Amino acid sequence: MMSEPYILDPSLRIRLPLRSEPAQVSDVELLQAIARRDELALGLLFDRYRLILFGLLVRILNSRPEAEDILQEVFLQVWRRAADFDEQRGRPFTWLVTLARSRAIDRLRMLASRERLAASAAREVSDEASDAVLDAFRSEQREIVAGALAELPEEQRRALMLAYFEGLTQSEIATKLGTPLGTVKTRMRSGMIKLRELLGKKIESLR
Amino acid sequence: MTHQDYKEMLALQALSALDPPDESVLHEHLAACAECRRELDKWRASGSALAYAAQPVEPSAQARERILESVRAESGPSRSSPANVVQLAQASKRTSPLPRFEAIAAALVFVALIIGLAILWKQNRNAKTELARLTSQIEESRRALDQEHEALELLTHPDTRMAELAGTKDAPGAHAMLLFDHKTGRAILMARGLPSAPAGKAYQLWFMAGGRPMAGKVFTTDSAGNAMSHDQVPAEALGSTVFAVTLEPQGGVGSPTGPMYLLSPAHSSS
Repeated sequence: MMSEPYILDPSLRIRLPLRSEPAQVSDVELLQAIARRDELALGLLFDRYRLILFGLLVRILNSRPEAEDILQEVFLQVWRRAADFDEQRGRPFTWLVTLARSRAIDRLRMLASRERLAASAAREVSDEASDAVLDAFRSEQREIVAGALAELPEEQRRALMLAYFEGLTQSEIATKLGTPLGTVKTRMRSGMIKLRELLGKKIESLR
Repeated sequence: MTHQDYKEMLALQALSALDPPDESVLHEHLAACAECRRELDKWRASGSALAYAAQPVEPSAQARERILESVRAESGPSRSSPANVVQLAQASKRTSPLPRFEAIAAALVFVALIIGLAILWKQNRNAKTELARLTSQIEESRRALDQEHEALELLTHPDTRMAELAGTKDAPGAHAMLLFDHKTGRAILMARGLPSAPAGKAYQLWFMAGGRPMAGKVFTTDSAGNAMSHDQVPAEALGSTVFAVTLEPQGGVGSPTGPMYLLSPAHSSS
């Protein structure tokens, strides 16, 4: 396998491996370096977020080859648009995840709706929610999110998971769950408000 | 639709869960409302936390390199050190100084070739001159050989007469023989012991016919004082036995003017 890249921070003079420990170089600094055409910085960003991003893509697309294609597209887009990143608007992680999910959902929606709903029906809806709660968490961030999701009422959580990981619109969720559209809208909005409250200040620790 | 309605759509827009008609309407509003745009960014931050709910998965081993390659293909060679991150692993390629040295070496070889060619060309020119000189020498030798053959042939011919010429007081060491075909007049004079003719002067052969000298050819001696001249005895002089050689101007004259160096005696032998 390739050798581990190290970061030498001139101010700290500490050499840090990147795999597990929090890095001293921020995501914003990495994006700034990428904007200056620093390939290594792009590599470091990949190393930092590949597990989360690829996991998200595989979950949405249910296909490793498709997920790899989207992963490549995402980082190519990061390379192209790093200079446009505005720190005022949010965190690099949010940008990465939003970009990855958006590309994956677009790809998913290219399939016929019926096909997609059929594939979705093949999965146990309740298992998804329990999967999210019962997964073995390895990071503090994942624990925080898992904890917050666990505190949501099941209907709210289920609707949010369907929207997030299957890219279903509120009408499609209403159809799938056999619930009125208005009810779905309300549940999803309530769920997002509660999630935001629970994550609240914890978002600061999340990349 | 009230502004509150738009605001309530924002959370779902962060999940891209709005139905297409609602989404278009919201997009129109967002273009004009900075407050809603900021709010949407906050909802996106919350929504993106849901990514942590997915099981982390390792991509393939080639994924990283493929991404870097596609990036390089896009933008060409990259810089390697941003202001606040110094890496120890150098990824970019450096241009080697070698091509410059190679270029210089190639130039030197080229110059050497040009010089070599110039030298060869000059040598070639000299060689050609030398060749021309040798060729003319060969031709002279061949002519001399032909003349000797001719003399030999004349010697063995039955119609050949021979006259002897003796040196005068101006050239006591000189001696000559004139071989001539008494029917055709073809003649060869062979002389030796003649002093070298001064510049602008040469020896000339004379035939006697009816008491009057008739001009023969002009000739010169080699460094040894020997001479050979092919000549033609005029018909009127074929019965004569008197022959003479004088020193005349280089181009020859119609009547003898210079001193006599060779003269045939009164009688000849056959």
